Amino acid sequence: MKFLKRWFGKRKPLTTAEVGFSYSNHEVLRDVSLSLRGGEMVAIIGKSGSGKSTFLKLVAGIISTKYTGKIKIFGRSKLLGKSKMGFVPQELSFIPDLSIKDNIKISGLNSGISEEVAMKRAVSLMKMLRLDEDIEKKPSELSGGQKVRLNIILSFLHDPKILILDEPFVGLDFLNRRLLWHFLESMRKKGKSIILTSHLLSETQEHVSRLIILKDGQVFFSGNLERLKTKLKMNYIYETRFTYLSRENLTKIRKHCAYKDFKILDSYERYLMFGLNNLREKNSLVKLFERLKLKFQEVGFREPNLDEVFLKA
Amino acid sequence: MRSVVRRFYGYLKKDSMLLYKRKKYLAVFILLPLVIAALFLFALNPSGYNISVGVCDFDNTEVSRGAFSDLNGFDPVPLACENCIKNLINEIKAGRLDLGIEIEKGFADNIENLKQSKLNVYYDNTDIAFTNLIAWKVDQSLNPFKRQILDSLNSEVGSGVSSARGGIDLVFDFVDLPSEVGDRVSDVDSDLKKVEELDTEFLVNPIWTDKRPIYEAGLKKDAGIVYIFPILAIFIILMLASTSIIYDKNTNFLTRVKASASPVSYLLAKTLFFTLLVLIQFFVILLLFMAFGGRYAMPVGSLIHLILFVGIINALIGFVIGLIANNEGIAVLFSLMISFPLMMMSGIFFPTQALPGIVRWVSGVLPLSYQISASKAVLLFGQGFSNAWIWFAVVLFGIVWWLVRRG
Repeated sequence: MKFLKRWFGKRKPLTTAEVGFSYSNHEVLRDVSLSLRGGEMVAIIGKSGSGKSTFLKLVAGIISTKYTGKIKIFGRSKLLGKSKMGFVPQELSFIPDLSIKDNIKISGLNSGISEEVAMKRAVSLMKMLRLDEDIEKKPSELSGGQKVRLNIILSFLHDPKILILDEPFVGLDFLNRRLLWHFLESMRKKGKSIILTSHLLSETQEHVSRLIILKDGQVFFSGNLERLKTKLKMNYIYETRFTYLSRENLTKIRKHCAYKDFKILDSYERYLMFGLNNLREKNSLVKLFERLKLKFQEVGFREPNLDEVFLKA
Repeated sequence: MRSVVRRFYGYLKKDSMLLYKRKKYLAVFILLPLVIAALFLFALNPSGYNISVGVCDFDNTEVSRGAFSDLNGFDPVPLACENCIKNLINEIKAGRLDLGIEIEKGFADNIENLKQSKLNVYYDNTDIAFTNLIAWKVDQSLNPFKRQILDSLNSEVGSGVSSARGGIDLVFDFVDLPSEVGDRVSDVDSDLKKVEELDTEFLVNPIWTDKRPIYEAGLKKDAGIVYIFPILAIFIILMLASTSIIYDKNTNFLTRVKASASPVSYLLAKTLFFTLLVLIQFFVILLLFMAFGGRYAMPVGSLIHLILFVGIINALIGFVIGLIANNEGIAVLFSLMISFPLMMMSGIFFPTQALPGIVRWVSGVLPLSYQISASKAVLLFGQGFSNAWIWFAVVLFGIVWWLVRRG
């Protein structure tokens, strides 16, 4: 028995193999294979419609039909491992007609724990997430940020080993986002495995150990920011704001970039942002600007953040 | 195992709390059956007609007045003869009179001269239910008057014929008639005897239909519950169950359920919850009918079987609606779209025997007809009914489970 426990304990909390999902002849996910280690925090990023939420819903069992591939929780079937997962849906998920207290009790029972245990855990989680409110209140009486925190608390009452959060930072201000990051960080330190989706890329890169980029339903990249920069050949950001930029000159710059395989990440009126691999590429651009006799109003050269790298992905 | 029981208890508790907190649902669940069942009871037990009848008596004789003064269940209102018919029709159109009777001039003379007399009855033929009632009620109410006329005619003819036959006997006693004449007079006497013995009612009503109900009269009143209970159950449970699923979808409770466990325990708990609601509704209606004097067979096993049948099937149909519909409005609309045709074909408004073949077949395969038959068997006769519905419930549960999983 002890051997089995140890054997299962060593198994990865989450493993997916060649997971695919499609509906109405539209392929949302294709061959998504990844794994999550114990005590690891991973973020799935990707453009809207890239399949991030669908993937989390498949893992959490919200969608359980029409998918291909395998999803294992601690090496066992997803259905058997549901009690080890806690899923925070993107939308607020509580019963508006019941008080916070009743919501906690019902969510606890839904997770298979007793009302008393649910209340105890809720008190502890509320303390961690600084949700100091009268539990006899209805959720509708809470502020937007408090509602998001309550949504998270209700999902983790059963002390799951895997925390799955679908866009948990939506609707949170800076302070609340920091609070939630600290909370997730403390959970990770306790050995919980965390997988989340987020559009706040700069913040995410600071906290997660691994980034998974989904592109057109497939895993485009898995690793940290440095590896992503290397993969995308994008170690620098070169930003320019010209005093004047004619349409003719802009076309010439675009042609030059296409020829040299530089990427213009952003452009607006006289502003241009380039994603570059090395200093040589920057010099090439500077020479071009001199040749075109362009004058700078502002200029910048720095390391990119995840948002900017993501623009090139 | 303990966590499965906790989940089951949690789902039941959640729905119970919501029913209590959302007062409008509580009202629909308790008050609606009370109101509708009470109205149905009153319709089944009319305390006496009070139909106002405008009368245009152009004959204005003792006989003509007798024709309407004793009309059973009607309240006659004699109208002035000038423009009487026009006024009568206007009064009916205005809703101040329910019905109109025109007695033509010569009504009494015709009766006295053994000629057929006529009463013209005016009624609002756009009032379908009243038209059906009046078709037989007027004839039925005139029956005592008709019988009175026939009795007096019978006695008059009888006494006339007796007198004629007395005269013939006198002739035979005092006059020695030649044999041929004697035979002829004997034939006439024999014919007169037939007329004397003739039942004049036979002329008017040669075939008498005597309707004999096979159950005691009180059972008709008791039978109301076998219709109203399944009809109310399907009407209310379809709406409550479908909107409850929509609520769980909108508040993302269903998402939490799917993330925490298999939806089977959620669906089972919800089915049990709505079956319990059906049980409560049944007792509310039963008590109301019993308060009005209804007496029912109460075989406990069959009663539980009936409640399970009605509760489970209706709840599962409601879940299917809730899982297909996008919002509560659509769910209510779907519920009405299903429950109304079922009611129309259930035999409570129109006899199913008179429906076209295809409609009769459809009504035969729909659950409400079976629920009514089952209620009749259990409540009126204390019998059991088939378990075949369980297969239907299993199929429905499979559909619901698939719809939940599909999301």
